Amino acid sequence: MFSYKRFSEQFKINLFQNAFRHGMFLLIVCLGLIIIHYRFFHSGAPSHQDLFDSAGFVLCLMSIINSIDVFSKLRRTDSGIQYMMMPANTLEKYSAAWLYSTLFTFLVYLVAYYIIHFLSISVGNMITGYGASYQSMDLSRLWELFTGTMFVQSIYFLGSVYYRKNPFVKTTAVVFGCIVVISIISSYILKLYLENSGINFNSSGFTWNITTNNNLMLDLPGSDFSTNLVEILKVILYLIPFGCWTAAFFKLKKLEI
Amino acid sequence: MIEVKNMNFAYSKKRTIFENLSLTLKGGHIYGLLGKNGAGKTTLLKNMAGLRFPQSGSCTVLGMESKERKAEMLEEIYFLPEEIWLPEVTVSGYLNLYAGSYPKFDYQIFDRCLSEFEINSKELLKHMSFGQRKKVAISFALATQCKILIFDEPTNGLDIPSKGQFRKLAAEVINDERCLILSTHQVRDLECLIDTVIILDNSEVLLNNTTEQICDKLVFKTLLSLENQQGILYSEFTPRGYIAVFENTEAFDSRIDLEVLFNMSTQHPALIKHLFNL
Repeated sequence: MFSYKRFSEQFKINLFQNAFRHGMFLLIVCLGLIIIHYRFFHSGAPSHQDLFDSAGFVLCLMSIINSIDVFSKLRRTDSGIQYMMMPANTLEKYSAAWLYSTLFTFLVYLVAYYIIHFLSISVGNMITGYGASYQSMDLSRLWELFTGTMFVQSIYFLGSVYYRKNPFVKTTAVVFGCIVVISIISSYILKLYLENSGINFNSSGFTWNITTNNNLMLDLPGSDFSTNLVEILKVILYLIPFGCWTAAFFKLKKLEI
Repeated sequence: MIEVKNMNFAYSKKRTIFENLSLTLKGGHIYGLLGKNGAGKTTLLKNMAGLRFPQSGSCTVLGMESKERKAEMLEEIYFLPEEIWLPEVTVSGYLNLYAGSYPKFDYQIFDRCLSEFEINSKELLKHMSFGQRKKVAISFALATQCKILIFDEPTNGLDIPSKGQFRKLAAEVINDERCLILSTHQVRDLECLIDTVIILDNSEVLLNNTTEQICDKLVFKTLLSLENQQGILYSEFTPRGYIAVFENTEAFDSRIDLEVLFNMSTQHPALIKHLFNL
């Protein structure tokens, strides 16, 4: 049975145990943001600069750090025993770690971003008299940012449970390995496609000539095939986090120290 | 409280630790788990705590499969490993962070243990010596009031007075509803605390008997010479003379020498099995 009390105890432990380290990271990010805003007011053309440009990178980086840290006790046998023997079932421990490294991290950094932004713009306007407007992210961009962060987080979250030693290095190596394999497969598919379609080169570059082999069910870029491919890839990208989170849960459940 | 049934466990095909191991541990006892290095003491404790899973057979704690690691089971079992981990906070910070997870945690017991061990609760754990940190961990474990306390080499790192204090505190918290399992090589430290001896050797349980049962069967005598002595089952030379073990045919009352008993058991397993009908 899932107990909210045990879950909140686990979340509290995650929060307080990482408070100093993660607090320092948050402070560094806030200082970085202040510097970005400072430069914004000294750039000469402040209205053309997107102050939320760095948000994606920062959120992904922090979600990676928090995902690795949230299971840091598993790196050593003594702390691993302490973690596994805590009175909470796997689902409660997992949920607390998941919430901490996903929604909590995302919200904390997003809120910090907005607070620093509004404060910096207000103070900057007061001092310089520019009258710069407050910027904001629309929902679709926020959603993109969220899904992108969750994608990266889920991979490192799984890596953090799966690899007890050096999870960051090993997960990064696996990710690069996967990228290489996917690139090889993609280039093979592209080669197959090119062999089954004609390409004419002219002075303005190259243009596609339609001689597509129907058996391969391939089509031209921008047409149904590529649109479908993009949709399929999107679905896969949405499914990967759920797959990683599920795998992380079962790995944690079966983990032996 | 703990029931191990026909458990098989191996780290690899070549390294079998337990074969068909069965063991029952009851409340109200302080068990001393003895075995040579690599005999599987820590592995057995980890299986009981659900940190390792048996390949076959079962290990149940309070009626729950230990490998399921149910919260209800973890609330009643505390495992104190030989190498302890504590966060970089003060003793009271540690208490605030972790005590809430144990429903029956007794703050008075914790304070009493700390004062007995002369530990300052305002001190940072990272500034403490290994022995002091161990004392904090022992105090916490005893204060959880878990029904099952598993201590792996608890006296390692403790100074001489602390060993006595540990024995006193451990004896105080044990009642009919609780059991304490002590795995140790330091048998002299815990000799007077243990009331049931479990000896592991060659993947099996050689002995699982109370000290009373052992005393009913065996007599431990210190002799200056073994000449003209009849019926010696086992003897060992020590600087004080010979310690000889005899069968207790005349209801003689003697104090168990755990070290001698252990050596006798591992050197003559068939004899021990015969004597204790295993």
